[in-house]
Amino acid sequence: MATDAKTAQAQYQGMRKMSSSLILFIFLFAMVGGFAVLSKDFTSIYNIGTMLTNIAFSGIVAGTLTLVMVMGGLDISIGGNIALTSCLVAYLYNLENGPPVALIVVIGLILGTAIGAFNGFVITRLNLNPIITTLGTMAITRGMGYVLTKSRSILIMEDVVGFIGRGSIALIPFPLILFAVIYAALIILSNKSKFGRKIYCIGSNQEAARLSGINVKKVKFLVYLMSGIAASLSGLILTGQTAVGMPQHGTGMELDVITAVILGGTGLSGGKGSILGTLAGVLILGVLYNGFTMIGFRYVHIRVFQGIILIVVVSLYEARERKRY
Amino acid sequence: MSARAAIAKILEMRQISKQFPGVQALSDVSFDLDEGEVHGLLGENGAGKSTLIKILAGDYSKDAGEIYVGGRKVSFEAPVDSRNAGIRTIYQELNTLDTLTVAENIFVGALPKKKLGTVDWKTLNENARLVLARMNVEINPRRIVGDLTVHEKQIIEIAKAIYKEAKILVMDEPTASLGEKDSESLFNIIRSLKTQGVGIIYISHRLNEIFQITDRVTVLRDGAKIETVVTNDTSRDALITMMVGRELKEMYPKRAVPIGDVLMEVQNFHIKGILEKISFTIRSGEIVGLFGLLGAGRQNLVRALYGIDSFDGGTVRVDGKPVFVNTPARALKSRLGYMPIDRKLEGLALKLPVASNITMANIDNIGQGMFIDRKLEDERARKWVADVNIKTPSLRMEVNALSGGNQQKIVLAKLLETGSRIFIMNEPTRGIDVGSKVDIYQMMENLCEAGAGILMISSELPEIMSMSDRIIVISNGRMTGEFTRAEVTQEKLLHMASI
Repeated sequence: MATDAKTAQAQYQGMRKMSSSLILFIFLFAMVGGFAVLSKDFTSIYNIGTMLTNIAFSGIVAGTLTLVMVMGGLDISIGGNIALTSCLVAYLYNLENGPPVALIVVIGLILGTAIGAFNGFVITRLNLNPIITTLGTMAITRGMGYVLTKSRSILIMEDVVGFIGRGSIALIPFPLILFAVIYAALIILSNKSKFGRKIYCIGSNQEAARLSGINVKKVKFLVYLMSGIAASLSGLILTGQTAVGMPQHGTGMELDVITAVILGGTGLSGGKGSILGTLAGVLILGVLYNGFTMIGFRYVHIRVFQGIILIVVVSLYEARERKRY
Repeated sequence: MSARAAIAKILEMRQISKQFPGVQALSDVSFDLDEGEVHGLLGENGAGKSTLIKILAGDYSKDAGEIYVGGRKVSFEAPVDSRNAGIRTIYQELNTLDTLTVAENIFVGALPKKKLGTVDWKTLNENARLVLARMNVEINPRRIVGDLTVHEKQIIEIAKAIYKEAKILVMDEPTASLGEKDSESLFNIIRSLKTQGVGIIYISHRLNEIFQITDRVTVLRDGAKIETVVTNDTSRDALITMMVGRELKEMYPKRAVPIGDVLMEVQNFHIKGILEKISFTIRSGEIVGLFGLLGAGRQNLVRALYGIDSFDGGTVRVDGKPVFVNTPARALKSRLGYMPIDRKLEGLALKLPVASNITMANIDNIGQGMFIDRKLEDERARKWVADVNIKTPSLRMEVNALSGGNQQKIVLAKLLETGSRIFIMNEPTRGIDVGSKVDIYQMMENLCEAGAGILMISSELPEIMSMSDRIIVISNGRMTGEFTRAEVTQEKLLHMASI
């Protein structure tokens, strides 16, 4: 049987593409190895715990954001969501005769759910562009955080919230457990479930998905909802870690999270990407910051590295897509 | 032939070969073009037409062979070299800048300037008018291109190509998205370019056009040249045989299928300002053709029937029971399936693999509960790949990488996988090769034999006349005629369509 030229070409590219997550993990292990050699402290239990906890915090939102981006959308209200959740939780805790802590935690998660639902509603029912919508939500939520706390930081020294951010079970940091459970769930969702498949279909061609009888609006709504819940969960982790609720929490982090997702091979145009890739992206960024700090670089320098890596990696992805024969 | 020898060859491609990893895309293909000649390039998808054209455009490098333009040997390292040699390609997908004016589009990159560096609008518009006049067309150079029809945009692309004295023009399926009238207008433009000495390489799947417009035809198959023939000395059947490499007993494998009960009944279907009281039935075993000119309302009708767009009145009965379809999901529940007109825009998730595309409209039934049963999915996909004769090396192949014919078959497979009984097929063989067309017709006949009913929109007269049991004609939103297969003629159809 004659295979045509286009087919062979694609087969060739397909083989190359398959290994892209693998390449990222190899790069990650090379980085870890390098830092381990350069700094003794890098491999200390304490440092690894801190590093992984930091990774868990931003990794959780990166996971759900991957679904949003695979679907061809975007959610930049993550940072605002995190800030408002932390402010609300700390505010409620410091109320006289406030609700019990367990309820406060639930309220925090409900807040995130509501923010996600709001995004989903506006995007699917009012047909607004997701960037514009979540840009608006970002301003609304962060602004509300400032209003609620009167621009102050509110202390919250409390065991339950503290446990979410700093606790551990059998020496494993609790945020890391959350992170692992969520990623396992997201990997199954995106690879094995009908819902996950619909996300990919919508991202690859929304109109074709609609004509195939897929309830595009429902799927989109739920994915933004998940993004909102994940952000408030990250907000709880950050509140626990810092023992303070403040409206500056998570400022600018949406860009770092987007960076991690894109590093992992998810594009902005939808239909492509994987949770595994994002996991690699999140770990690479986490190791990058921690490792370079351990060998004496400052945050400002590492930001420069982050930008360079992003551009280099994405240009490699592009080069692979447009190979000229 | 003696007259031909006197005319200068403006292009000669000698023994061009090109290998892609794993496949010989072209082997020893020679091709030449005379001044003022329209030379048709025919072949099934994957035959090597695109590769040949891309080598000529400098998009691909060749592995072996030589190219001569106007008798001089040339070497194309990049697309710009090809352009400088006077070669332009008009691709199927137009590249107009829709927010700019006609004149700006034609002269983009070479805008005439005044002393201060500002655009000299007067000269620009005058030049644009002159270029358009060369093709005997009148389009106001100040119009915004986004407001133009597809055909007018195409004219702009041609103008863009010829203003710099292009000698060789490559047209890749230029009529794929044009109606009959616009095609005719395009042919007039081609004829006037001919008289100016421009050589045109004309790629099309529509054999009628090949006979209408070309002087010679070259047929490629599996990367090799089969033959170059003078158009007047060959026949439709001879060309098809050369293309597919086997005798096509019949292009249209219509079988005698007994017509059964009414599956779907549409009564007084109405869309304000677009459609008026459309009524018709589709019976089991029957293919009903839906004919009309561009803008007659055929698209609005089928989109509303499938629940993509809304409608304002009328009843639809399936198996005698009234149904209300306002979303595609509901249509599918009534076992009404739809094959969209544009496979890339509405049919396929191009970045996803073959299997995912085939099960896309039936994903809820692939596995129990919330999870996909991959084994079942592959099983289903494999069945359709075999039944519809889809050529793909693997079920995991991205659909993006397949040829148009195979992509269209995947759209059909996806439709079949829904288990529908009534099928609306919107231009089911648009822009695909002959072999794939026949495969799709065969499958349509299989469906009819299994008791399904098909409503087929087609703008190709031979297709709609040969495959339909009945043909409904719509003009300006009203039903103007209904013919059986026995009584239909091309004249009747066109007459009723333009009432």
